[in-house]
Amino acid sequence: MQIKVLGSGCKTCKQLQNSVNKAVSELGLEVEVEYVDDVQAMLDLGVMAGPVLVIDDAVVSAGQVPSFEKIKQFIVDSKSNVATPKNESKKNSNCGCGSCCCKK
Amino acid sequence: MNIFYPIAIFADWLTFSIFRIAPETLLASAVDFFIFDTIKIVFLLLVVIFAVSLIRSFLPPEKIRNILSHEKKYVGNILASLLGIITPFCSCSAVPLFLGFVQAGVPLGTTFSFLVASPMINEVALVMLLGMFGWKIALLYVISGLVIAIFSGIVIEKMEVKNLLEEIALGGNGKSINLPELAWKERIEYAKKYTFEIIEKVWPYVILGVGLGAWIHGYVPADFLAQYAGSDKWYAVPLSVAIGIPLYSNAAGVIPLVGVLTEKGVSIGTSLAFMMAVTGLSLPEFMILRKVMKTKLIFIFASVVGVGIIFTGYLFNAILK
Repeated sequence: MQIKVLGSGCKTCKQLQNSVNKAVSELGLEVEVEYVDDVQAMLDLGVMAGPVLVIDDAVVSAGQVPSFEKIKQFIVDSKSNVATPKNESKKNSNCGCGSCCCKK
Repeated sequence: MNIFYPIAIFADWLTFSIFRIAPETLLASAVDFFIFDTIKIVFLLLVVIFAVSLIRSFLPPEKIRNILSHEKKYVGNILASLLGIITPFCSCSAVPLFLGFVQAGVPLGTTFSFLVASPMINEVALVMLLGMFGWKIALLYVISGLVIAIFSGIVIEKMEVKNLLEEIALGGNGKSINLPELAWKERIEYAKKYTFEIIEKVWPYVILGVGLGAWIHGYVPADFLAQYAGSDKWYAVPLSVAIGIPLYSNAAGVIPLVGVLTEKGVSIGTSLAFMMAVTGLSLPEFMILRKVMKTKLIFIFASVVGVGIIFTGYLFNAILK
């Protein structure tokens, strides 16, 4: 699993990074949260407002800091998606928007 | 029936029964005015910011970009200016918004319309103008801001200035995604959080603005500034714009100042032009935009918008005597 926080270095980006770090350690995962301070990288993902949370190359949240519970949920969901990859790819093709919008 | 009537009763009760200030004195009217206006503006801010953030949760910048990249000239400028109203603007967001638009093929003029409207017109400015000057001035500000944004964009588009962009603005893959849909509960949560964040930021300005207003209203009868910047002075408008451009403040910070200026005899057109220059154009914003465009384009941008603001100032001074 790979978790990234993208932003332009503003206050909210650091808030998100802290929350994600906390969520990861609370879930007992051995994942490093990477912080990317690069506007172009954010834009190339198709997003225009930071902070952006990316889990396994999928944008799960952008333009705001989700609640702590929500962040934990994102991480747990992505983990279970990895366990059942077939299921996930089916859903992806259904929604027709790439890899981003398949939320239960 | 006035919906603010309960607030008026509360303000009267606090002034006369609790603070025991003798009615019909200058102090009583100033205190009464202060309590009433502060509560009224904070109440309006709560309601309006909440409503606007709820709308905004349906229109994140990515969606706005999708709308604008499909629009033709003129319609695009109008839409961009309208969408700029609900989009908050800060120095953090200027560059990604600009690059995101341009790289995805949104016309440059449309992007500039958005760039002008977004900081100049927003819900906080609307509510504070409404609370301090009444709905006519608030509406006038919004409409003239929109017109300036639309025309500036059209003019810049006509000038064909794409060659004045920095390399970075022409790169990128122009990708645009649809963000995950939010549930209603999340939208309300977002709107609530955003509303309190903004109120937390602007309440000192509200207190300051209303307090100054109350004090000047009751105690300073002077037309002190009229001799320098009354509507009969032709240089008042361009001078106020020239002073306003390098200054940087959001609407909440500048409106108390505008209140003081008008009370002391500066005409309303001059004051609104000053406010537009402070919020719509600023030195820090230019410095940030320098990353994505050449100095010459920033100069063109500032001149076009500046001329629009000056024109609006004169117009208001002429019609609002």
